[in-house]
Amino acid sequence: MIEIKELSFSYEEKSVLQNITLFVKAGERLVLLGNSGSGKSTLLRLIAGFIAPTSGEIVIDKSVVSKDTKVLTPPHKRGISMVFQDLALWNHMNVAQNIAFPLKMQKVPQIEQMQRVSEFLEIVSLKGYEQRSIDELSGGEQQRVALARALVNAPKVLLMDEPLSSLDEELNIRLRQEIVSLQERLGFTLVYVTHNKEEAAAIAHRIVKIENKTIEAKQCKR
Amino acid sequence: MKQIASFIFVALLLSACSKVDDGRSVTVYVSEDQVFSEPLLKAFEKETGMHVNAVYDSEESKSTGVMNRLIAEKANPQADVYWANEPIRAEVLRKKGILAPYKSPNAAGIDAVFLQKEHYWSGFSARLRLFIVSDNSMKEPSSVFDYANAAFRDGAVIANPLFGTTTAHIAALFSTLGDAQMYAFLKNMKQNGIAIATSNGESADLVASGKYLFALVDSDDVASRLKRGEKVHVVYPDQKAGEVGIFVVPNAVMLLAHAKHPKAAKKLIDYLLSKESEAALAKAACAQIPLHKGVKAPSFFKPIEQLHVMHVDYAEVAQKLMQLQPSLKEWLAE
Amino acid sequence: MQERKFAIGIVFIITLIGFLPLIVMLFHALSGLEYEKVLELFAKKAIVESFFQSLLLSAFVAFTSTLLGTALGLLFAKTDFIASKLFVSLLIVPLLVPPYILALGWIDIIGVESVLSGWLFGFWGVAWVLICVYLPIPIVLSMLFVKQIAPNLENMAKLYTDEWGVLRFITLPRIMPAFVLSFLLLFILSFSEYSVANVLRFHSFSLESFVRFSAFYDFKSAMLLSLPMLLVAALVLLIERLYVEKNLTKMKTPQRINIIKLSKKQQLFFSVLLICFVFIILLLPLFSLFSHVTLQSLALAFDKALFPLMNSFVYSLSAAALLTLLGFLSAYVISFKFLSLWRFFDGGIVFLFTLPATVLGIGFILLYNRVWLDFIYASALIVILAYVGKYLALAVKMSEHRLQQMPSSMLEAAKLSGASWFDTLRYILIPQSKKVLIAVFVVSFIFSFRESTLTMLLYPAGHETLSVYIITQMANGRPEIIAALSLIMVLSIVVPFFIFMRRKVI
Repeated sequence: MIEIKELSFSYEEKSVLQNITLFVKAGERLVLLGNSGSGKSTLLRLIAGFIAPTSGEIVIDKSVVSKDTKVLTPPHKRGISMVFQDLALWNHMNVAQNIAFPLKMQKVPQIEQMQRVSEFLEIVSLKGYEQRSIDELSGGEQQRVALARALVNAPKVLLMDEPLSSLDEELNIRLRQEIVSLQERLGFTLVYVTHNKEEAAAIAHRIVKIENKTIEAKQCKR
Repeated sequence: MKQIASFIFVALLLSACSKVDDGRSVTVYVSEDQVFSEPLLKAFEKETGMHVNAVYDSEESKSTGVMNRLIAEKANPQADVYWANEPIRAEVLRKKGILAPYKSPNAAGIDAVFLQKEHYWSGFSARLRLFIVSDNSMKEPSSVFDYANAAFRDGAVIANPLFGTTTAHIAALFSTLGDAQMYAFLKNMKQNGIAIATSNGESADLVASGKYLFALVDSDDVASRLKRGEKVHVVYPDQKAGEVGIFVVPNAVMLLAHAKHPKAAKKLIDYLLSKESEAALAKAACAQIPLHKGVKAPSFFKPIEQLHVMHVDYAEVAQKLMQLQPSLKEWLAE
Repeated sequence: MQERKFAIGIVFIITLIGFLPLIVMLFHALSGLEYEKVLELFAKKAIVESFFQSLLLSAFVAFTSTLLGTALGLLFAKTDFIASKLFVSLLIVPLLVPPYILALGWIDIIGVESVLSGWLFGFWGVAWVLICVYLPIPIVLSMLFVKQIAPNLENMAKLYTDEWGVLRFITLPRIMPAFVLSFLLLFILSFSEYSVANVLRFHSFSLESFVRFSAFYDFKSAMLLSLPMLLVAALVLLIERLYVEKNLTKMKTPQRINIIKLSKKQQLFFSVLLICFVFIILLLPLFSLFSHVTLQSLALAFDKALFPLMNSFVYSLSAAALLTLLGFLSAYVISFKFLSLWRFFDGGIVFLFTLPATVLGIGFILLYNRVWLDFIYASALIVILAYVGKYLALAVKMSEHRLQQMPSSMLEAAKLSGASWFDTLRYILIPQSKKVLIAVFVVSFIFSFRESTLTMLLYPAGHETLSVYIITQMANGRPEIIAALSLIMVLSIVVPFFIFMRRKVI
């Protein structure tokens, strides 16, 4: 599904990632584990297409999307969704509008948009929250909205950048389980970034450690 | 933040100390154009060693200026002397009790019509209200009433009658000829297609550029265009016997009531009323007409003794002006 | 408790600087007034018509200038357009020149009797000139707000739509408060501007007040005619409360923002477009002015202008510093609602801004012109305080919006750490608002530097500013000297502004 070949990235002459090679199978839950500053979030941004690699190649679904300083396929054409660490919910829109946004951009008819929004709100246990303002929601509720928004258009790949880091342990555990359950149900490829070993172990089919700007030779399977 | 706060403190301290008040200074508010008045004030400084703090005025149509400042400062005047460019303002101030009388020895020799009876103000160095006429004009205007003459239809321009010497001139005509005749004239002027400019200067430029045939302006506006070599010439209006005569607009200098530096103020007033000052203003670009006999007039113009002058009581003109302004405003808006 | 005392202190200072002159002015206007005369004044058809005409003109100018300015602000702040700093610096020039000079410039080009004269002399001509003059304000405001947008908000949208979609659905809605704030400020500025209407013979409401001062010396009527400005101030505040506050989102200032990379074709396209634009709004009307400048006239003008220029800098820099400080502190009092009467405080500050400068100036004279206050009135302090009174609303509104966007978690974290309200103000709020404070300083400086109406009424004799000097020289002054003086005035602002921009301060 995702192939990363000898990928390097530098920013302002400082090396962030060096010679990363990684293969993610379709339907796999891959967790990138590493300490803060190890480059895991940068790798996600490279996969999403927000930034271009300094050298190397990224292939998604047999299509070269980024190669050697060029972003060949823009983010919105990669079939990717993402949940950011800060969730990036738009609080000038309500819950329904946030979730419907990907559908709106795909010109899905309004009625179908509303149906899908309701469906995903139910999936994330937020039935009836359509008209609520983002600022009214608790941390956990916001997480679920971000998750619903990321999944509503059935992406091939979901990237998650430490999405549960700010939650309490109980909620963290509950949401992890929900993420795993959703992935098994909907079948998307998940690339999940965390620095928490327990979280990694609970979610991953496979854990890849990123240390010293590169992948550790040893990759752990759950 | 610290730097900003320190800067404020130092700047304010310096600002507060910026006022010069060493007892050898005089403060004058000046409505005569700065380009003409400033050299004379500098000459006074040089001659007397006194420091002149001046506040200059703008054209009335551009800002509210010095008169409003004088009126608002009545309770605690900052100015010692006011140099007005026409006596109507002087009368407005006199009526508001802002002036103090002072009979300058240098006022001797100036015709009494240009001096306030109780010596609240003294006139000097005048402008005349003249026609500036385009050299391309086939017909010559000879009277202000030619503004309503069909022969000049759509060919004349006048400065905004709400401001300056134009207002004073109209008020003078009203007080001389009466309301009935003048209201009829104003109506006819409009029907004759008169154009309105923002100032005398603009009127003069419009005639010089050939857009209009003639305009009633001040003599200094004519002088400057003649000096520049524009294709225009002067006509003195209403000079025939029985006609109303030319309206003279003298500068007026006056002492402010409760002036902080009365001695210095009187010295300045004497200086401005001297023959030497009149000669300087006659030679300068403003080409103002001396009111002292024997002082040489500017080369562009006839001396005042050779002209048929409108005899007015400036106090009456000022009163009339105040009454007229609402109707002039309506006339302008029509 | 301490906060409340501090708030009362700020209100007291602002009262002395701004509200007291206003109260004195109102007292002077209303005392001995006959009710019939008031009715007569406001019942005049010309007055009522001019009021509604001015409302329409102001709304049009505010909307058009804001739309155009916001588009330009986005281009300059959100893309890698190569010459953005240069163009921003050029586009502020119309704001620095007395507006009626631009109007006179257009009269020079179009003439008084050409085909286009009918358009120029009237509503459209006045609107056009004012749009050009006030364009820099929405440009600066939108640039400021764009730099507050966290990149991830746009990145999220990038997963579903292209750059234009991101701009349309995310960027523009998030800078909407800047749009509305700009509209409101420009509305007020246009409503109270009279010199352009005077030159282009448009019957505006502010001209009514001006004429009553300048031609009639009728203070009472002139001041009474400024009372409807209260309505304008109230309307502005209502819109602000209804819309802007609701839509200001709490967020930290990001270190970097997303920049849209323009292709070479796009760079060329925008460069050509902006060159044409600058040519039309700046070079054309000012050509007839600046074409008179020679090296000789420049040298002569510089010699004459040096002292007034120094005065301009002292007054404007002092006023800008005071405005930045008092504006921020007033915004702090308003945003955190320390006093129950905060709405009146806010309203009063906006009302001062809407008042014609002449009316405010007379208020200052009536209040401060007393023997025992000579140390203020007869010094530069009076000019500085008048600038603060007049432009405080600009400083307050810009700071207010920044404070309202500050995440409450930042303040709560400070409190938990043991910070007092003053420590929070000093160590959290002010540093977090650094960019806005710099923008406030720059905007306040520009407005103070170009101000002439208030200055003419208040400057201590012999200490005029350059803007006043240019106006007094215009009466029969040599055109080449006036042109050179205007050029010096423009360069005195544009050059430091350009340096500011290059150092990425704004």
